[in-house]
Amino acid sequence: MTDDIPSPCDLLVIGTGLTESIVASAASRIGKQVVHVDHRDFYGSNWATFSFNNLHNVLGVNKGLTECIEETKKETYSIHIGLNSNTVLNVVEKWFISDEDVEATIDNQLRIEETNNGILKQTWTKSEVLKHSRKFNFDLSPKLLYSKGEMVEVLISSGICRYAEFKNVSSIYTYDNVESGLLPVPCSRADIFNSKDITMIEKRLLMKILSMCVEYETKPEKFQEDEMGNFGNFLDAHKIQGKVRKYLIDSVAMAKESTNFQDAVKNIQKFVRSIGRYGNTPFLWTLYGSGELPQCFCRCSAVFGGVYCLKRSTRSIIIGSDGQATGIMCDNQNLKAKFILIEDSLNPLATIKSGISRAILVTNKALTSNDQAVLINLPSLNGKEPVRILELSASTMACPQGLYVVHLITRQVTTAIEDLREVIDTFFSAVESNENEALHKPQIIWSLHFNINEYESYADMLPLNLYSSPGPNSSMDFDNHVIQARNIFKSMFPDEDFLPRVPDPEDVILEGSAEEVVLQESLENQEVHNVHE
Amino acid sequence: MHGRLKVRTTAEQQEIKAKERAKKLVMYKTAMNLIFSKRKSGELDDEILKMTGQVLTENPDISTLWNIRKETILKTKETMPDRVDDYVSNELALTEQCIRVNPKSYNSWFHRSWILDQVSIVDFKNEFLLCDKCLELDERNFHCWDYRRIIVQKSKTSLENELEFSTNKIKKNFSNYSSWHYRSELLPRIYPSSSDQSILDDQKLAEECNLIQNAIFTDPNDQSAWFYQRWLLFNSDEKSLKNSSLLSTLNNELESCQQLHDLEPDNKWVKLQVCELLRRINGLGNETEILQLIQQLIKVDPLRQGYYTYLGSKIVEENQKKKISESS
Amino acid sequence: MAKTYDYLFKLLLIGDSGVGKTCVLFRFSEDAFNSTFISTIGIDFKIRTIELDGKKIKLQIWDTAGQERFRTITTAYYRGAMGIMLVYDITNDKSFDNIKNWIRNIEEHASADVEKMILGNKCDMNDKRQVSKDRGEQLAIEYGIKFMETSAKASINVEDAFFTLARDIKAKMEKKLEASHPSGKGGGHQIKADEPPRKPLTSWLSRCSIL
Repeated sequence: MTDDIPSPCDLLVIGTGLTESIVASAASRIGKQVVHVDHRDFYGSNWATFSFNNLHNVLGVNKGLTECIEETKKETYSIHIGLNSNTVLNVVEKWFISDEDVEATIDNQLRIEETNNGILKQTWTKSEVLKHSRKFNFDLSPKLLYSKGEMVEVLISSGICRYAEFKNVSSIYTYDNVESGLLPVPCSRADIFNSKDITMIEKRLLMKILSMCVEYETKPEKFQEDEMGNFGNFLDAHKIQGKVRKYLIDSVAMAKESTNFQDAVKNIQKFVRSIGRYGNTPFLWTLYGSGELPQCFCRCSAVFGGVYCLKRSTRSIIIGSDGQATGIMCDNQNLKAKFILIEDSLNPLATIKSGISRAILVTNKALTSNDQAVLINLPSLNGKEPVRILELSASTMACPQGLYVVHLITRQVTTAIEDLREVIDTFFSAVESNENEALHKPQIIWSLHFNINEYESYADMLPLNLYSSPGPNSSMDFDNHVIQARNIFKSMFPDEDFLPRVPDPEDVILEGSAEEVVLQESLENQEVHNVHE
Repeated sequence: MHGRLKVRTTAEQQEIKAKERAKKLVMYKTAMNLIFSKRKSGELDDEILKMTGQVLTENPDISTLWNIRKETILKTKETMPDRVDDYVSNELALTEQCIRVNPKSYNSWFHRSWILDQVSIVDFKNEFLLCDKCLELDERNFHCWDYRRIIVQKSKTSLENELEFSTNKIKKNFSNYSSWHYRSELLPRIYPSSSDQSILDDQKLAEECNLIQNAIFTDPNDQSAWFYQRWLLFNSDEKSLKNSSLLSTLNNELESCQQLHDLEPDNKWVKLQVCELLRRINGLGNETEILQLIQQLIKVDPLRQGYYTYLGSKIVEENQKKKISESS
Repeated sequence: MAKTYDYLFKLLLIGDSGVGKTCVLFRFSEDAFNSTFISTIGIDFKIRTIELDGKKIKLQIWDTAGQERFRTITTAYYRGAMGIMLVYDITNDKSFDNIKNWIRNIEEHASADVEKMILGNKCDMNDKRQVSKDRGEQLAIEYGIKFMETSAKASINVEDAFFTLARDIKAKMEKKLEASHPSGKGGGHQIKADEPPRKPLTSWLSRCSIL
């Protein structure tokens, strides 16, 4: 297709990551002409989900792109965009299984071993795994959705929820240092009722605190003292210790002792209100991976007229004499726009603020019983950063049956390998030995470590009509990205609705269709009747 | 302008709905007329089954139509006994569909139960599946619970199985009066005490007490839990209290209740239970404490002041009778 | 209300811009056509319920939203699709050539056993024909899939095409059910605002109250 991209347009979006895709869909929805480009050949940018085969595409995408030299006209100058910038870096890939033996074995198709228990276990070889490449879906930035959070509400109100499917996160765990093991976190009342880990009194205290927090706004008098302090003090005041304290801090409030009381309460409310809407825990996981969501928003934008072009490299942003951005140079086309939104990883005026350390493992056994998705929050210990683990089973379409995909996420301190070494060694094993059978540790078949940069950009450094769209951060869910997208949208189009309800597709018809004529006649007859009465 | 997409307006949407309703009404009237005229002339045949089926699928609560079907089935049993099974499976399919439409339709459940009696071989597995499904959709559907009791009886299913079912239901949601009630019906039949058939044996009683404590501590406002505890503890009469194991159970429960009371001083249910326990253990000796609690109850739950006052005076009266009988 | 359908099939339309996908869609779902219909704006999917062998089949037919223009159809579009209509325009050779590219895309992104069908649309415009019926049939035979020439404008074969595709999907699905394989989608659930009127059993404050 050698179609030219339409120009001028109302909003030009560079990068198909989540935040900017949400803005694109909101703009198209209100009738603005949106042009959405990305230099990559896939959607999702640093939010993308990929199979084994496109892994190398995704990670090796920053090939050397020839710099092009433009003439700068007198009234304009351009900001050069370095597509060579590395947002995903320190990539280390490792296989823990060998390739298939060249010599013929008795059973060539699959090597099946019997373990001591007589249970048949499939032995995976590297080529066997790669044969199923398409069945793997690895997220660069895996995130959950709170069942009653911003993302779910926006998906429902905009109708975009029809483009994707979701699975419940079936259980949540934290870590018990005392007993050196995973501790299940009771979420619903039924969980608390059934829990064998806490005493009766602890159950009452846990429920009490949760109810108090949920009713915070209705009874502010109860909290006057607490509001001044931090979450740790609040828990002390109510004599919350031991496991219950752990549950609340690590998993429900997702906070630290020092977290501001009001922030902790907000998180607790979100957690509790989200329980039971779709499942036992407050969280949903996107089937096929988080990279589906940017695609869903892009489709919504396309449905309302957005134009989509991948493999189009934006070289520079052109600024006019009045200091406003006028457009971009995209391959060899000058595209004009009223507003430009660029993903922050490409924004030349953005600086690296921090980083995320990531690991993706393919393992042969679940850490605990897992038929869907499991969340494990490892609290900070000995000054180390907390680590979040997301274990996905085949039913989430992350991998073939019998295997599991484990995502580890933490703030970057050194490199991904170093930051996650201890956790990985604690829970997983790389070497196959009898010792592991005894310890029941899952075995790692393949691992990938990498870091993702987080950027910040200051609005006052950019022309007024040029916006920077935040990339993935280390948060567990999408809500603050939805909020950021809404803010960007409102700044561009202050009087417009953000993703209002879509009409039911069954009510969208062609004017002049036979059915419509009959309908109109009937309505007109009614009006005639009414007049006569 | 042609070719443009438009969205139907609310008026248009309503118009479409109104047309659909009008169509349905005409179909209904025609069908009912035909059904009644056939019945009058004794034509209890396949056609009448088809027509009544169509109407019932839309509206399962027309008793007369179900009765017509019963009449037809009975007639079939007489005239074509070898074909009864086919007709019965139709009835099962129809009642299932109607139950889906209205899970609380008396007629559908009753008809299904009636149908089971018309054949000698019943696929009880299917019946249990239907019950399970309905209870999943609505745990408190008493029609379904009743139906379950009927099929348990007819199929002579083991009570232990049913107890396990009740346990699973409670694990999923302990806030359900029906589940606890079912349990209370099953337990004495499976684990009766050797001394008194109407109460549970000691070990089972202890287990159930522990189970219900979990519910009470998790949510002391849940009424179904308190009712169950009352049944567990207060079911026996004065004589059995001489049984020291029951007495020690009551004392244990009192201790827990008092712990809960300390945590939830404003909760009327806990207070009331402490009251009742004190009364059962030693109504006379604990009278002062009991009456104090009654006063607190009146403050905490003024809506039921009358009941608490009555309870207080009743306990005082009991105690006076005891004093008299002890002194005589 | 009686159950409104027995099965739900997700179908996709794929093909170059301008071949008439949206017209085919509207002809099938609304029995409408309009020649001045320009580009696809605002159309997501359409639904039509048909009856096959006594079963009610709800067909949910998705349109490309114009993303085929620059060949940027999302991979998410293909998820859970059970049948795909590949459409070309008989008066446009290029659109016919591109069918094999679209098939390659489908092989890459859709499930391996998705039912496919090729439609040569605008067959009412014989005077402007660039692709013979033979060529269309040959291509279909090469890929082992069915083929029909259609005209959304003159309402030729559109009904037939969708009914055939649906019938093939139904047959395949019923065979799978017999062999007790889990069918179709990954089994995720869709989130909706209007949840079925179930009592919120695990919701925080739900209690059984008698008094």
